[in-house]
Amino acid sequence: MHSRHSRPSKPRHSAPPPDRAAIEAMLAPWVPDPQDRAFVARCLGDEGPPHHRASTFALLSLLQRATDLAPPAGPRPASGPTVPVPLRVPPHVRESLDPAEREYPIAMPSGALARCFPDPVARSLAVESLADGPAHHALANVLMVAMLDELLRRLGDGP
Amino acid sequence: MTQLPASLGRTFLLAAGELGFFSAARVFVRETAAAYGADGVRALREQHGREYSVLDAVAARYLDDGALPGVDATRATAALHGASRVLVVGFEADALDLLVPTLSALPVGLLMQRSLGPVDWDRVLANFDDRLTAVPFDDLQKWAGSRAALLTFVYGTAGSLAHVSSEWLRVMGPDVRPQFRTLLGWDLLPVGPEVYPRWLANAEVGTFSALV
Repeated sequence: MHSRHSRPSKPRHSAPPPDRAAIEAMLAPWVPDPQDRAFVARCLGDEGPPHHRASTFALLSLLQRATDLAPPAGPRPASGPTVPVPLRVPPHVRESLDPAEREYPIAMPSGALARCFPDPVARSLAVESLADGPAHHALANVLMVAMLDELLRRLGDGP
Repeated sequence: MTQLPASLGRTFLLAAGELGFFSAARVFVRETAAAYGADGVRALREQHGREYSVLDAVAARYLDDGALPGVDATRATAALHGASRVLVVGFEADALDLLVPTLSALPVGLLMQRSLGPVDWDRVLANFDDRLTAVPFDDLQKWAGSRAALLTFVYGTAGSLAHVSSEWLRVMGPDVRPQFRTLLGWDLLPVGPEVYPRWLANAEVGTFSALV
């Protein structure tokens, strides 16, 4: 029997890695280039602490399931408001990078966030928190926001 | 058994520092075969093979096939298609002699980090007519980017492990890995070594984005 204060068991580190092909399929609507897609999928499925990878994959899979079960909507607008996701390098290195390669090849749609957080200060804080942090963390947030943006659109919230 | 010069092992190590283990092994096996024939190559294996796994593997291939293992940059070139720049970690003269011209105007950097001992970088770089840029270790991340590639050489695999130079492990930190789109391993000895690779380190095969 576990006491009230016993710590939860750690996830097994020998668990199989997340399904990279499934992650790439989830990314396809937002990352058209296959090499870019493989890069982001690696950051989501292979980088970062193992328990984060597994939880990210579980949440993404649930979001994909919800999106698949939602009523279909028309084609997504060709361009909507997005926020770039900076490549995670130390600030003093950032200026040395090619300006065209300072961001990950996926941007965070911000339409649903704008509707959810009409106050610009609250919205800015949400955007910064979602896109900041280690690459795995930030990219997982961004893909989840993108999938939620699509899910909400199918439910009638958004263009 | 042919008696080879006693200093051959130390000479090989010196050459491997500036040519790479694989390229130096090709030179030493070729020259030994020219001077002493197949018996000399057998002696080379016997006397130095256990110390130098790549030399042992190249000599074994020569004795099996009557020819040195070849180098083909086709798959590495294809794997780097679309990259904006390539930073090479580790060094193999024969491989880079073939690869660099196929990358046309792509910037190619060479990380100035060798675990084998002092290297005359000016002499190494002079062979590439300014096509290779010397990159100090501290500037590693300045080569990062959303289409940037890191490349290293692999000296065979054993199960899920790839034999690499230890520089690769110095570079493969969890901060650096998500800063480069491509993490390419180029396997120069797909058959793998028959003896323990004392001078090399192991990396999980799955940690490369591509292994060619």
